[in-house]
Parts: sequence; structure tokens; C-alpha cells
Amino acid sequence: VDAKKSELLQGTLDLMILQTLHALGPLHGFGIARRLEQVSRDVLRLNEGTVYTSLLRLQQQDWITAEWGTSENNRRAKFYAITARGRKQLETETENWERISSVIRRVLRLQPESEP
Amino acid sequence: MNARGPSRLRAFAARLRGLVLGARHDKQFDDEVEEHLRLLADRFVAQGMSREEATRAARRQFGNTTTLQEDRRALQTLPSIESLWQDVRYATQALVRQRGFAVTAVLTLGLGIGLNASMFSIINAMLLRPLPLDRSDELVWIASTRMSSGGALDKLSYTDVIRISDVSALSHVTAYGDLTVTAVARQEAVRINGQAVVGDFFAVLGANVYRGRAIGQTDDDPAAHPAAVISFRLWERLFSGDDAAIGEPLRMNDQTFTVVGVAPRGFVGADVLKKVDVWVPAATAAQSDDDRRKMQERLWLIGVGRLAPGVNPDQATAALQARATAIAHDSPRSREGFTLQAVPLHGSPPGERKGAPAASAMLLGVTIAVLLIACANVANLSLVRGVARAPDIALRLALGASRTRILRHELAESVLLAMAGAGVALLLAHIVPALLRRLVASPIDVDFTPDLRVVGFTLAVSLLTVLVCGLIPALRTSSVAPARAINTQKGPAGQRRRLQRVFVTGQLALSFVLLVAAAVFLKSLVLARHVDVGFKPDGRVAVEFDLRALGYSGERSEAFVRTLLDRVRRVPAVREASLAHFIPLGGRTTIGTVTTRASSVSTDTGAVLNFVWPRFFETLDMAVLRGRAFAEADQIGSPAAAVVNQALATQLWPHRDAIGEELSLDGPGGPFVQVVGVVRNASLTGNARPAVYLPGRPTDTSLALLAWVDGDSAQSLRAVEREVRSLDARVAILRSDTLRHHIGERLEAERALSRVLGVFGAAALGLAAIGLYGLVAYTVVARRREVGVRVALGARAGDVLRLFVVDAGRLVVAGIVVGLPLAIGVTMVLEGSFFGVQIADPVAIGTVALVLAGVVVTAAYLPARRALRVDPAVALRSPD
Repeated sequence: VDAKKSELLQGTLDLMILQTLHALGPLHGFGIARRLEQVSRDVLRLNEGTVYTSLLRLQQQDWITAEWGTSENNRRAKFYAITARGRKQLETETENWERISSVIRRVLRLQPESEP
Repeated sequence: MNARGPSRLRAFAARLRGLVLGARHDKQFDDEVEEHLRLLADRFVAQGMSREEATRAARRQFGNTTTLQEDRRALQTLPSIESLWQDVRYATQALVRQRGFAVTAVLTLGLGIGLNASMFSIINAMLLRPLPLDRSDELVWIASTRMSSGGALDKLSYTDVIRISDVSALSHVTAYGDLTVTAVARQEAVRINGQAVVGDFFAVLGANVYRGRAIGQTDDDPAAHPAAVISFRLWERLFSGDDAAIGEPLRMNDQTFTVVGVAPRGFVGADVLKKVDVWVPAATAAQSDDDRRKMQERLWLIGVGRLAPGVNPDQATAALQARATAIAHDSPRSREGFTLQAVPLHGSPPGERKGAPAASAMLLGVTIAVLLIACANVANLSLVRGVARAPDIALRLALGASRTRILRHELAESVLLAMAGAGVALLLAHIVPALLRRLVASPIDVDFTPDLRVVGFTLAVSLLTVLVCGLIPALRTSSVAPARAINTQKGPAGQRRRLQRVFVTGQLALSFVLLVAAAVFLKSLVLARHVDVGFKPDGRVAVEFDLRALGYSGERSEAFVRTLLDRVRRVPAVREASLAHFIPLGGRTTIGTVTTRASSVSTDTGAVLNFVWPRFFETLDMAVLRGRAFAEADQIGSPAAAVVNQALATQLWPHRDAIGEELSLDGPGGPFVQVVGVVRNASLTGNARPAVYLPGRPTDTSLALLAWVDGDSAQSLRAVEREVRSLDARVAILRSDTLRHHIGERLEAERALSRVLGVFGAAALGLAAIGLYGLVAYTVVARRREVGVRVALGARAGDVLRLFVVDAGRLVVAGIVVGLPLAIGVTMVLEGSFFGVQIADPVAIGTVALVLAGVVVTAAYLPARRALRVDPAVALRSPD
């Protein structure tokens, strides 16, 4: 896999997880995966395991924290929560994303002039 | 969402944490993944799958757990440390594959660095290592200067020490003065160095005695019975380590002391460079009231103080200076500009480090030269290896290895080499200082065992050497463009060969300098053997003995030496015999001030004094140029007669005959003695000091019996010794040897240095030869194709060999051209510092050049022969 492409994918996943934790509050890894599955309406077919790599990356930047707790069916699980720094990052990245995607959308709408 | 700038630091910190928590993270992560898989499977079961199917589906959806775990590890720890082990393994394999290179590099490095580490451990032992004394960091030298000493460091008087002792910045003050004594106990006599000490010397230094008690304040009372503490060494030598030694008498010069204690093994007082065997209270150094007054005012003591708690040397200096000003104020003009200073106690006292610098600077220079040569070798080897590995590295670069990764491998190899080299070096550092000590026959008893400081130094030098010498070529290798390296294998080979040639030329130049220096020293020794010293030392023997410890009165001594001379002269092998206080050019002497009677201007001059018996000049065959030698009548001393050497005669009476002139050794007040003869100068160097010979008195000092003998001198020596013993078996014989050996001792330093230089020069030449061998071997490989063409076209073996040997010859010439001015410069410096050493002469230079050329041609010839084995058919088809 090309390094740049994977970086882009990673970035997208990171952003989606941040947004999920921002919207739903603390969740464990399984919960995050389910939410992503749900909102992407199965469009985003992913190796669910990569969620954990992403979570680790986010933790290292102190954008999320992790804590051991008890899940709804009374099992030990790690719960992830977004931090203040994470919210700020989410804001910046969302703006970036929207700016870039609007540019891309506009670019993609352009019609070739020479065609009839 | 990429991590940049400060967030990288954050990630790095997290990784560091991860590195520490590694195992725990693994387990937690596994748990988390397992739980996730279970939940997924449960969900599939709820959707109607069988448990087995559900588990498989869950795994499918989750993805590869092993890759995930690996990704996680890569994220959570430091990959450079993770793969360090891998690098080390890879480097080890690489080095094992290139055994020849590895062994040569390690040995070369080991030798170069080992010699440096040895030198460092000597310096460390002498100057850097804290003394084996209690809380030695609190100890300071009390260094003094005064105006009339021209800023040079000076000693203290007994009165000074007493006045300094209540300076509150120092909790304790002591001092010592060096003495040379003849000590006699249990029928055996030795000449040893001693120290007269003030106050609680042992207590201040924090040294306990091994047996008995230390001397201290109470022994300072002139009325106290003279007590002595002897060294462990002397205790073993004179008393065979017997506990009964405590309380036994020890005669020193003409005083009897009682042994009260034995110092711990290895204790030498405050100055580690001294070999001291006895300590006595300073008060006992004075035997009469007159002596005592002199002793109290004479500047002969070296002060040592212990800093009061919480005081640093600067504060102590300030306090001492205030006291110095007070002392200068109360004292005569001679103490003008008197200053005192507290200097941390390491090595010798600040004023006593004369003689050593020239020799130690030379030794240091020599070791650095050897290190440079070794360094050039490693660089050369690395270059050669770089060429061999260029295709390999290029291939790896082409396959996507990063340059950093390749450099890391090179670095790992370098570090491994450095470690191995340091190992060899430390082994050498363990052995060499002891060998050096034997080589220079040093009397200094210092423990040279390498300590942590030496290990640290060695590792640092090794790493630095390898990084500088090994990594720069590696950088160049890895900068080769892959395509070029794979296609042609040439790369910047020509450039590299030039660099190699520069290295080898430099090595040869340095070896040349070292060898010329060694040759020059050797020549000075050969010359010293043949130089005309003004008398004939061959066939003469000398026996030094001491009567003072026997309690002989003046008359009995007189009778003793008279009888002895009679008897010795009757020994069949003895042609002539006489006595003197000092063996001419034997190293011990006394200096007097000579004043002439009839002069308005001051004609004081320093002269070497010797007190001799009749037939002294005849025994040594020292020519009497004018007047006469001493006769029996002169011994009685009326009128008093003196014989002077030519140097004194020309200095004091340049235009007159010296015979009949009068001179005094006690100032213008006399008594005056008449010059009855002028004799040839006695000197090792050709520029003789003025000398005065006076009729001998037997009681003042030890005596030397000189005899001119026929045949085997060892037998004659035994015969002479027998005569001495037969007169009185208790006589202390200090040394008996041929006159050559007695004089030769003077040249011990030069001899030792020439040996050291010879060894180092040979090591340097050996290293340079290895370097050259490597260069030629490499050239042979690089020019394989050319050789193939030549052989195919009909070149003969001789032509091919000449190709390489002539090339090596050019390097020798270049090396000598570069080295010659250096060698001349170095020998010029040596000429100024060592006896008999002359500026490099054509013979020395020619000899060294021949040796160098011989070694180089051999080093070139051996690998060049391999070129002959090249099969033209193979060489021409090879990709080179």
C-alpha cells in the first residue's frame, strides 16, 4: 500500500472515530465499530481491527483517553472518551475536511467545455 | 490527521512508555481484541449463524489480528531499539563473513588504542586518581612563591609551617622535607629516601600504620627519643616482615632511631611519585642548636593541609594569603612577595614536576602518532571494504532500503568493532604499563591497574576512532547511486584510491619520524659508550660503602680507610686503587661556591666538589695537565691543597696559570687553599662544569673505593668487597659495580626512552605495513582486469610485480619526503631535552629509510604475487 494513500485512510478513520466519541460519549472499541458500520450504511467496509490502531494513534496524541470499565453485559472493557484537545482537533479537522471536500466537489462538477 | 511538530514529541513519549510497559500492553490488547471478536460472533449467532460459522465470520470482519498486533507494537514502541538487536545480529554476521577485515581492524585498533589507554592509565595513576588516603579530596598542597624565586614555586621553612598551622580554613597542617639516608639495621645497609615530617603527618593524611604507632606531635620535641616509621617495603627488606622490628634500633647516617611503626603497604606519603622508605620527625633532622636554627629558617619543607569542613581551596587560598602577607611583613627582605596557595592534592607537589614533562610529552606524542597510524589503517580497511560491499549496498538501496537503515548497519558494525578493539586495548592497558615500568626501570611504586576512568577513556577513544575512521567511508559508500554501482561496480574508486594513498603516505611519514627518533636515541647511547669522558672508566670498579653507621670516630675511620687502601692495593688483580666521596659522573655530587682571594669584582662560581685520596687521578687515568696530583702529604692538610679542572681554571684565571692561585669554599673570609694542579675535565656531554678536588676526609659521607683492575671485573669486585668486609664485617656496602655501570645509570632515562621509542616505532612500522599490505591487496583486485590484459599481451611475472612494487616505492619516497622535516624538527626538540641526542644525521636517516623501504616492498610484494595468479581469461570476462 502506498504510504500517502494509507495516511489518508488513517486520517479519515481517525476523524470518524473522534466525531463518534464526540457525538456519543465514551464507548468501547466494539461500540465504535458498530456505530461506524451503522452510519456508513456498510459502505465503509473495513477491517474492524484497524479501529484499534486508530484508537492507539489518537491516544498517543492525547486526543482521547482510555479507561477500563464494565460493559453493558458486565464484562471488563476499555472505554474511550474524547478529550478537550481532541474536540479542538476535531473542530480544526472538520473545517479542513469541509473546505477540501467542497473544493473537490466543485472540481468534480466541472464539465469539460469541449464536449458537446 | 497527520502527526507533526510537537505532536511527534508527544507520540515519542507515549512510545517510550510503551517500551517500558511492553508485555502488559500486549496482554491488555489481546484481551480487548478477544472481547471484540466474541461480541461480533455473538451478534452473528443472534442473526442465526452457528457458533462455528459466527466465529469465522467475526474473524473475517475483524481482519488479521497478528498484523494488528504488529502495527500496534510499531506504534507503541521505538522501532529503532526494536530493530537494534537485528542490526547487531546482522553486523555480527557481516563481520564473521569478513573475518580478515574484522581481525585486522580489531587488532589494529586494539594496538593503537591500547597504547593510548596504557599511557592514559599511567597519567591517571600519577596525576588524576585520588590518593589512597582518607577523604583525599579535602587535602591540599600549600604552595608558596616569593619575589626572589621569580614566581617559581618554593618551599616553606619550619617556622612558616608552625605559623600557618593555626589558619582556621585548614583543619590540620603538616609538612615534609625529603632526605637521603643510609639506613642500617640487622647488619644490613641500604641507601633510601626518607622524609622528615612536621606534626601529625600520618593523622593529617588519614593514613593508619600497619604495625606499631605513627609519629606525631609528641615526637617533634627535640628532647624526645628519635622515632621512625618505616615503609612496608623496608620492613620486609631489613626486618623480613618481623613483628619484633617494632622497638628495634635503626641507624640512619650517624644517628640511632627506634622503629616505632610500619606504614601500610604502598604508602609513600603525599607525593605518589616519590619512593619513600622512612619517616622521621623533622625535629630530629637537627642535632645541634646551630642546626636547629638553620633548620627552622631554611626553606626545605612542602606543606600539606586538610581543608576545614565546608571550605573550598579558593577560600583556603585567601586565608593562607592573608597569613603569608603577615609572615612577609615580619621577615627579612628575602621573603618579599611571599604568597601561599591551596592546591588540590594530586600527583606531585606543584613545584616538583620538572624533569617529567619532556619525557612524558614525548611518550604522549609517540602514542598519539601510533593512534593516528592505527586510525589511518582502519579508515583504509573501511574504504577497501566499502568497495567490496558497494554492489551489495547498491542492491539493498535499489530494493528500497533507506539510506538511514544502511548507515545503521554500518554503524552497528563500527560499534561492534570499537567494542572488540576496546577489549583488546584494555587487555593491553592491563599489561603494558607494567612492561613500560620494567622497560624504563622506574623506581616509582604506583598501582597502574586500569580503573573505571581508564575503561571510560578507552571506550570513548575507540568509539571516536571508529566513528571517524569507519563511518566517513561508510557515508561515501552509501552515497553511491545504485544503478551506477550495480552496473559498473566502479563508483568513485579512483578517488578512493587517492584517499588511501594519502593515508598510507601519512602513516609512512609518521613511522619514519618515530623510527628516526628511536635511531637518534640509540646512537646517543652508542656514542655515550665511546665518548671521551675525561678519564678511563673501563677496567675500573667502584664499591660504595658507609662507615658512619658503625660509630667510628674520625681517627678510626682514617685508620680504616688507610688499611683498606693498603690491602686492596695488594690484591693481585688490582693495579691501582684510591678513594673518593663521590664516584666521578656517578650521579651523586655536591656543589660549592668558589671565591678567589685577589679580586675586586665578584668571581664567585658554582663548582662540583669531590673529596679524594692520593692516587685518585692515577687510578682513573685522569690526566694532570699542569702542576701535580695529590700526594700523601696533602692528606695531612698543611698547607691545604686543591686540584681544579680545566673548566674552572679557564673560568677563574683566564689569562694566568692557575697553579699557586688560592681559592675559598667558605666565602671571601677563607680559609683559602692553594691550587696545586689542573686536571682534565670529566664530563659525559663535552661541556664540563667547573670542578674542585680536595683531599678526602672519611667521616662526612659514604665513600667510594675505586680500583683499576686487570681481568674479570666481577672477580675483582668480589675481592675488593672481601677486603672491606674482612676489616669490619658490619660495614654497609651500598653498591658495588663496574665504573661503567655506575656512570651508565646517569643515562638510564635516555636508555629507557630509546627502548620505548624503539618498541613504539616498531609497532608504528608494523601498522603502516599492514595498511600498505591492504592498499596493495586492494589495488591488485581493482586492477585485475588490467593485469589480465597485460598478461594476455605477454607481460612477464617480473613486469607485473614491478607494477605494484614500484608503486609502493613511490609511496615510501612520498612518506619520507613528508616525514623528513618532521623528523628533523622532532630530533631538534629532543636534542634540547636529552643528553647526547643529536639532530638526525644522514646515517640515521639513511638507515631508517632503508628499513622502511624494505618493510614496504615486502608488504607490497606479498599481495602483488596474487596478481600473477590471475587467469587472463577469467579476468577479462569478469564484470570489472
